[in-house]
This record gives sequence, structure tokens and C-alpha cells, in this order.
Amino acid sequence: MNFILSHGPYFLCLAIICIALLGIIINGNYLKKLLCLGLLQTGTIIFFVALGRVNGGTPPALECFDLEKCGAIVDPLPQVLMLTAIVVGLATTAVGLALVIRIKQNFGTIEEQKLLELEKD
Amino acid sequence: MLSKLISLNVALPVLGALLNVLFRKRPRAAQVITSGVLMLLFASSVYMFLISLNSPEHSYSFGGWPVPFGIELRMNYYNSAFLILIVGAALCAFLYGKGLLQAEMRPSQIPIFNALFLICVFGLCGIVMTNDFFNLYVFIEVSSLATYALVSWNSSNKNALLAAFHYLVVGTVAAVFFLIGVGYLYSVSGTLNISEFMGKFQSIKHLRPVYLGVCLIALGLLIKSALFPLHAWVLKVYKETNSAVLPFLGATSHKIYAFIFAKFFYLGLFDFPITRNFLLPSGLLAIAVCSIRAICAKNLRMILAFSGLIQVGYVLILMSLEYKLSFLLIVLQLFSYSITALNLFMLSARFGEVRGGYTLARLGKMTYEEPLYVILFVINAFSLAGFPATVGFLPKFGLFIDLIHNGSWGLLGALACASFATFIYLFKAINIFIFGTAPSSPAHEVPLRPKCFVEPTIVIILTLANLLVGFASLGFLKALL
Repeated sequence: MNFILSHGPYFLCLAIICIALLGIIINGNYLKKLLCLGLLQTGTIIFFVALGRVNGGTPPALECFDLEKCGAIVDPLPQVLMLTAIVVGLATTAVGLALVIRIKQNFGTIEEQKLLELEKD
Repeated sequence: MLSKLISLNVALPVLGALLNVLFRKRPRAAQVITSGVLMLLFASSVYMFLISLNSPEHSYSFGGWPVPFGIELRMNYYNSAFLILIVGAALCAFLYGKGLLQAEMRPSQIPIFNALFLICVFGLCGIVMTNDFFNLYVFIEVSSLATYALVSWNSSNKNALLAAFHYLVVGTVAAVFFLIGVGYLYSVSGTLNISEFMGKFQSIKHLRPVYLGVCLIALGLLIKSALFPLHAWVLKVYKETNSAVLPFLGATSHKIYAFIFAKFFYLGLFDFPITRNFLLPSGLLAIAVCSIRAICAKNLRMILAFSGLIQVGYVLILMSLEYKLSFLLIVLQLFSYSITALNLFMLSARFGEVRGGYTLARLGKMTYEEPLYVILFVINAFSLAGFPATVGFLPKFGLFIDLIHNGSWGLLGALACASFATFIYLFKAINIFIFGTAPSSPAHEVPLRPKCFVEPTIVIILTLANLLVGFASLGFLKALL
């Protein structure tokens, strides 16, 4: 129990990633697939931010460059990386949504089953 | 000076893309800008290759940040060779596709299309040159995002939208796997720089997070490089994409990721006992299944798509053999395939345009309409099968010599069968071009656009270059023997 509590964020992101992957596989609706893709990226972001966490660490703000005064600081690099990853995720979602809109316009549906039938014709 | 030039290789395409957006009211200017940028890039990458022949390693760190903190671009023979390949393929494909695009698009769309194309080139150049794990992820995503948009851009075929969406889902999942793997490696090593990480790797490789991270990175890269069971997205994309874009994708896309996978392998990242057991069977499986499916395929594009998937199998097999020259052979194999595939895709684009489709049944008696293109197709088919005096010969010859030297007769037999299969599936298509029956239904509702001299010139130059390099390599081998 103690182990689970101390590794809480990791279990959380593992759960999110698994749910997202499952959702991508079993959902027939393209919009829901896209939502799950966003969820997958959120899981990754939580994972990275959790990696940088230090027990009792303070935020890596400018006043805290003096380590002796503030004690441990949180690793800022994963957070910075995740800013980039959030932007990438946003771009992916935007492109995906644009595709879904075009699919809806052209085929009249975004359900995979129906689309596969239409594609064969 | 030289390090500035390295950064120019990623800065120029972005600049070109921006200029294209700025000039979106002037399609002609946008075309000139794009061609100019690609030519400049090509010149600089050739220059860089020539320089790296004399002094092997060059690096550039962004913003003047010293290396473990900043992002580093690194240039050596292999990277610059692939840079030449990407930029050269982009240049040829762009010049070749210009006419096709103008016939298919509204003029106002062309600058936006060019901007996407340049961003895709930017991402691929970055992937090849970067020496930083996270930066690699960003470049992978940038090039993939541009590719999704390019794939979906097909006004005559709405199935392209579905292919693009499929690719988006699979590609993003692969990139996320890669990213999580990078997270694990960072959590143990505290560095994102690939060289620095590899320096620490031997002391940390027994740790479980490292093992998991490496597995996830390998999985992400293998999905991206479309190894056999993970290849479904490639087929859809190749079947539906616009024929102006496809030559570029056919020459680069998943082959570049196979190169990155091989690069990591030779840096030692996949240095685990299980890797060796995995490489040979999956490589052979990929070659066997894709060869059979290529022989059975009824669509010219599918045949070419499978021939690309077979190359990934070759890369894995070359990796599994512990030869000194393996990496060089991998680079040669991918390089020669890409040149040949670029040419084959461009030729097939013309066939498809003339007959309004790519199914083999539609392509009968092609020789009557496009004799020159069929001849060029035959030459490139020989190159793909690894016939002497073509560019495809050298890597195959190197591989076979190595196999004979080591007495691995079983593998030699299997690969000889694979080469023979290449003959079968390509000459099945050629047989139809020459002796098949022409389709009775009219191919085109709209009249064909007038021929322009650029397209044949490009395919002829590429084929001649192919033969020239092939002959040069024969001379080289003669001197060697």
C-alpha cells in the first residue's frame, strides 16, 4: 500500500495510458479515437512531470537558485520538455480534428464500420 | 563557418515555408522560392558531405549552449549522405510534381502545399542530424504532422482522408511510445544528449527502467519504420496519396526511421542479448511475407509499397550479422533503394495519370503510350532487384560476399530467393505493360495535360545517375578483386 501511495503519479499515468490505448483500439468513432489520443499524451505529460519531482522540493524559480537556502529543487527540465510536448499534442489534435471534419463532409459519417464499407465501394 | 552551415540545413526549409505562406497570393513566386530553397539545401548538403569525407565529425549546438545542456546537431558521413538523399528526393519530387499539382489544385492552394512540403523536409533533415533524444521526438512529430496533411491532400480521391487519419493515429501512438521511452532513459541517466547517454549506457544498462525505455524507443521506431506486422498504415498511405507527393514519401518516410533504428543499434542502444534473437527472424519474416504479398498484389503502387517494406527486413538482417561493414551496407542498401524507388514512383505516377488508375488491369499495353517511361521502368526494376551495373548491385553484392565468406548458406539461399521474388513481382508488372490488354473504357474524362520537358528530364537524369553509380561501383569492385 505504501509503495502504491509513494508512486501514486506513476500508477495514475499508467492507468491513463492503458485506458487511452484501449480506447484507441476499441472505439469506432474517429472523434473518440482522437480524444483517446489526447488522453494518451496527457498520460505522458503526467509521467514526465512526475519524473522531475523531488520529495520536499521547491519550484525551480529564480529566488531559489541558492540551493543551501531552499534545499532541494524540482528538476525543471521535464516540465520544459512537456511545454513542447503539449504544443505538439495540440498540433496533432488540430490536424486530427481537421481531418475528422473533412471526413464527415466527404463521407457523411465518422464511424469506422460505415467508413470501411464506403471505402470498399 | 561549417557549424553555421549545419544549422542552415534546418533553418532554410522553415524560412522557405514562412516565405511561401507570406507569398500565398503569388503562386508563381512561391514555386520559385520553394525550388530555390531546395536547390540551396541540396548544394549545402553536398558540400557538407564532401567536407565530412575529410574530417568525419562536426557538430553545432543551438543558441551557443554547451553540449550536454543545449541541443546538438551532428554531421558525419552517414548523416550527410542521408541529408543529400532527403533533400535530393524532395527536389526531384517537387520539380516532377509541379505540373501535376498545378493541374489538380487551385493556384491559391499551391503556396500552402509548398510550405507543408518544406516543413516535412525540415523535419526529416532534423531527424537525420539531431543528436538529442527529445529533439528527435520533436522532429519526428513535425515531419509526421506535415506528412499527415500532405497525405490527406488529394482532391480526386477522398479515401486519402481515411489513410491520413489512420496514419495520424498510428504515428502519434508510435511517437508517444518513443517519448515515454526517452522519459525512462532520462530518469536514469539525467541527460538527453545521445552521445553523452551512450557514454553512460554500459554502467546503467542493467537497470530495469533503462531496459523498458529502450524497448519503448525500439517499438516506437519500428512502428514508424513499418516493420512487417506493424506496417498496415504504409499500405493505406501508399495506395491513396496524391501522386505528386508519393515519390517523396516513397523515397524517404519509413526508410529514414529504419536508418535511425540502425543508427541507434550501432551506437549500442539496443545492446541486449534478446535483440540478436529478434532481428534475424523478424527480418526474414518481413522479407518473406512482403515478397509473397508483392507477387500477389494487383496494384502497381502496392507492389512498390511492399518493395519498400522488404528493405526494412533487409536492414534488420544486416543488423543481425555481426560484420564490420554492416552499417555501411545498410546505408548503401537504403540509399540505393530510395533512389530507385523515387524513380519508380515518379514513372508510375505518369502511368497512373495516363490510365486514371494504378491497378495492373488498367496498365496493359503501356508501351504504346509511354515507351520511354516503360524502358526507364525496366532499368530501375533491374536496379531494385540488384542487377550488376546498377546502383542496387553494390549492397546486395556486399551482403552476399559476406554471407559466402561466413558460410551462412541457408541465409544466402533465402536472400537469393528474395532477390528472385523482386524479379517476379516487378516483371509481372512489366509483362502487363508490354503484353497486357489495354482497358476498353476511356481512361480520362478530362483531357491529359500537355507534356512538359521537366518530367522526362528528371527521370532520365536519375536513371542515368543510377547506371553511372552502378558502373562506377563495378569498376570499384574490379579494383578490389
